[in-house]
Amino acid sequence: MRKLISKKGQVQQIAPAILALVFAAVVLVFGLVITQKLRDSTTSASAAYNAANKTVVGLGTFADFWEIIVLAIVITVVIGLLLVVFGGRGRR
Amino acid sequence: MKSILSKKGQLNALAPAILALIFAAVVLTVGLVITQKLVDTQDGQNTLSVSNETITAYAGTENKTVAGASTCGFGTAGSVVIYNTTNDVIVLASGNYTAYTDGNIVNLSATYAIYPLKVSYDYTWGDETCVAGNSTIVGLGTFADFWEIIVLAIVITVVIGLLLVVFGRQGRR
Repeated sequence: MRKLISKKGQVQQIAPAILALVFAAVVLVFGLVITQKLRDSTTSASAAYNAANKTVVGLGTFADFWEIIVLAIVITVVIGLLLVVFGGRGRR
Repeated sequence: MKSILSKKGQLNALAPAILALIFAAVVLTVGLVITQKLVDTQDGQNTLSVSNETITAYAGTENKTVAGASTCGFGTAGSVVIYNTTNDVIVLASGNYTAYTDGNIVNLSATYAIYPLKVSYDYTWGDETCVAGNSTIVGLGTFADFWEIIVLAIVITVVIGLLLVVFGRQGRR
């Protein structure tokens, strides 16, 4: 039977992965808040405002991809766990 | 048969696995709360003006809400002016309507009820940060949909691992 350590490793990937996700999310939102405040400090419709606004909108599109990232993490963990049991037997 | 030790190992994997899951769940929840609080700080921080938004005709004395009220992080609506469709009559001033700061406009009489109207107003909202922040919260929140699958995978791993310890070795003797 393949190793407890590997199995433990799969499950224990979850907490650091979520921690990383949450950290990234907070950084993203905080960054957006700062960028938006900077944008608002410039004159409306000026070139700087427009560029800053595009930056805010562009950075904001990252938020649309959280679900895919979450899905990738879940797939990695679940398939990793299942491979611990089923993957090793074929190779024996 | 392979050892009670391996079997014990299967079961011993449960406690750390559950501990890891719970830690992950707490981190996820705390992270979502923090992100939500951060996003909420932007509510009503930016002002936008809307001109000539169409309001469909009232059916008697009813309540209609301006479109700005449904934007992300909506704060308040103000400076509301209501026109008829040719922009030449300010009907709000006549006292036929009352505009509230929550974006609701209530028709107080049936005088102008049958006509579609136009409304100009200012409102505050959370802007792009609110939109992206909410998408982040929703996206991270989808992790919560997968706890059952992860738990199931752990259970399958432990149970099948245990069964293989008992039965898997017999075929190889």
